[in-house]
Amino acid sequence: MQPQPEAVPALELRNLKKRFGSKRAVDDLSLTVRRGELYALLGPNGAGKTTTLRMVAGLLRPDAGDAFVLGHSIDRAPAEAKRRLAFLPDEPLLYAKLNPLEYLEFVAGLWNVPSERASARAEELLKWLGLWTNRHDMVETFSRGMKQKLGLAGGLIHDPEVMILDEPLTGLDAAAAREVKDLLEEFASSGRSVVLTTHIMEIAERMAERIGIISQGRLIAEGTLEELRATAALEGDARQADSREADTLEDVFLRLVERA
Amino acid sequence: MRPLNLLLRNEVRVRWRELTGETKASTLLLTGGVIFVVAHLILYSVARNLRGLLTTPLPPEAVLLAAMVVLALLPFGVATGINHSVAALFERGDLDLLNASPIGSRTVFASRVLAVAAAVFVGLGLFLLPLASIGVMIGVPQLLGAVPTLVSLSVTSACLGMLITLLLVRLLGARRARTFSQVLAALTGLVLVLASQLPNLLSRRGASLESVAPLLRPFEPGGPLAPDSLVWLPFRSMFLHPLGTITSLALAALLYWATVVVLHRSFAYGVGQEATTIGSKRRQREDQRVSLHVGSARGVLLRKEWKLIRRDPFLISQVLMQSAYLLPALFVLLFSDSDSPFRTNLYPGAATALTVLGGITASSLARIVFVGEEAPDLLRASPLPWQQVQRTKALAALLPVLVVATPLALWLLAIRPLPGLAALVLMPAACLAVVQMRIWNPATASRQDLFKRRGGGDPVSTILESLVPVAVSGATYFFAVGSWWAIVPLAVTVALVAVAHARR
Repeated sequence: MQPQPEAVPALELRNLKKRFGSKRAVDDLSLTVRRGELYALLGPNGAGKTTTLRMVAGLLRPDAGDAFVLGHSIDRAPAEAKRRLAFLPDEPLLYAKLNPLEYLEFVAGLWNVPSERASARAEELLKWLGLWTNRHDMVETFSRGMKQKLGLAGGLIHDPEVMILDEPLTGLDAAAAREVKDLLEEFASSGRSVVLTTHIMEIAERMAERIGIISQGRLIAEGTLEELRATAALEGDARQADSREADTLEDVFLRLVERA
Repeated sequence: MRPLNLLLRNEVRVRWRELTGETKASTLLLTGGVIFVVAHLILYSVARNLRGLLTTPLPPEAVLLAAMVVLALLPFGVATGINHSVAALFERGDLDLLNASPIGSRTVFASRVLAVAAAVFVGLGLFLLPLASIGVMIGVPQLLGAVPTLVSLSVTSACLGMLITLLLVRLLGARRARTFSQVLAALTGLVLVLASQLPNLLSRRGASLESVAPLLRPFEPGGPLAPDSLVWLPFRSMFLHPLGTITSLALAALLYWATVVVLHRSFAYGVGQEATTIGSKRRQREDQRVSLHVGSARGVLLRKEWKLIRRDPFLISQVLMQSAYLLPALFVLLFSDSDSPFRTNLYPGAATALTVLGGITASSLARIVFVGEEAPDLLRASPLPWQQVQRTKALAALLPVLVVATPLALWLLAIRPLPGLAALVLMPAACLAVVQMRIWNPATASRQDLFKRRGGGDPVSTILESLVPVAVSGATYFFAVGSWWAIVPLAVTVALVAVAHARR
């Protein structure tokens, strides 16, 4: 049966588990991302953020559990799920000896975007991301920031409904980072969903509607910044309650991770 | 510690780590030891024959012999020098660190050239040093001259190698220079291999010294290149001739000094600048409209694979090199005409060659498209089923080989049915087998490392994969001459494929 368009969440993780040898990378992780929501997944190094995103993108098979993109199981209906998804890892997925137009043509082909639509979208994206003048240059000559932007263009060429991004602002200069942040907010405001991981707390604090904090593969807290502040205060020392209003996400994050 | 010493120590350590990173230190030493011992055994008779020749003054034959040896080793030395210069300039990745340090660029460059010379010394030393030690053992101390000759030869090769590499950077730009110099180094090796077969072939074809007599005239007494000419003085160092040795070492030192003085600035600034301006030199097309021709997912994947191979001349050269090193062996097979088996061997030989070259080329292409995939996560994250991705990639490796080789097999079929049929059936079989074996042996490596050891994945499976074209070509040969022995290499092939399948 086809999932109902409005009833299903954009992304749903159900009891995801993944082990690497004796290490539990992701341990019974469940979470839901609503449509039109910008969700930030935070956690210390090695918490399992990237592993989670790679399972959602279909790059890693979970040991147990499943991930659903707009109701389509990544395990049982991978093509349907992937068609609606864009995955952007911290290292852009590019080819050194293709130029941006050729790269976008290739990605559009993989996602089965018709030529006419792909051409218009490629032009729009390259102009918007400031890569138009470099459209005939080989990717190998690009700076880190330009590569990141082209990776983003590749992710957007098929107009995905859900974007998952692993550290999307790594290596970007201030202007480019601002552009990407604006794009993600615009993307979410158009009814589509964004899931991102980041180590920069200010970004999650400013952009995300809800934040999930994972540690040692488990979701230890989830909610808006206010809800996380409340969780941290409830679990903490009563003497700290007065200062909880002024807590930044960084304070909250460190307190929650410390206790986990 | 003085900067030059510090840099040299670092060069030696880094080079050793690079070598032992690719091969175990024990294997490396064992291989070097075996070559050294074998060289001793081979050169023993040469040294014994030289005993009678090394009189005072040195006879003309001895001088010309020394010159021949040195000049034959020089291209090999220069090729090694180019290889190591390319590594020092483009692969080590420490130039910015060194050039940003307070150590002068001249010192940095001087240490680099010396390190390249040391690498050449090791390579050529395996062949020249045994001559010196045998000389001591059999009482011909003049052969100790091989040591200063080796020093001069190494320094000269390193200087020429660095000069050629930097010149190429200036003329072609950093990236093309890198590819070109690597191809040049590989080609020099190939030419030496082929040249080593030349005397064999010439003697079979009945060629004699008479046919090259005009070329030898300048070497006759009184000629500009007569053995007593000053031109040959440095080569006398091979037999520890005092003035010759001093001249040889002084010339090498002079060349080293001139290279450092003249080139150190190009080294410090030129390479970096070239590397950063490559993009801006590209011709900009002014078309303002975007017109993408997307087509099917399989179509874009095929186009992508071929485009990436076509744009990487280094990879193409590596693919061709894999086959080119077989040429001497194929030469011998095709032209082994004791009486007149040339005609007998030509067509089965051609069918065999087609199979082995097709198989090896398909194997190299499969390695590029599977192991050298730069964005496997992009393909895995796409809606295209993974099996379809693999089938399309296999097609990308197979099609170019089949498009070139099948018409040749058909032509063979038209003129000699049995060898033609053997090639037509077994060449595609070899290609299919190696591509399938590559799918069973997944690995990832950067495109630069594809044809090094670390680019192969499971080493046993990689060896099995490389044996399959040889085994199938054996079957092709026997089949082409109508022998039932074809069953044996075919059985071996099946066994190789089965083992690879079991190891997947």
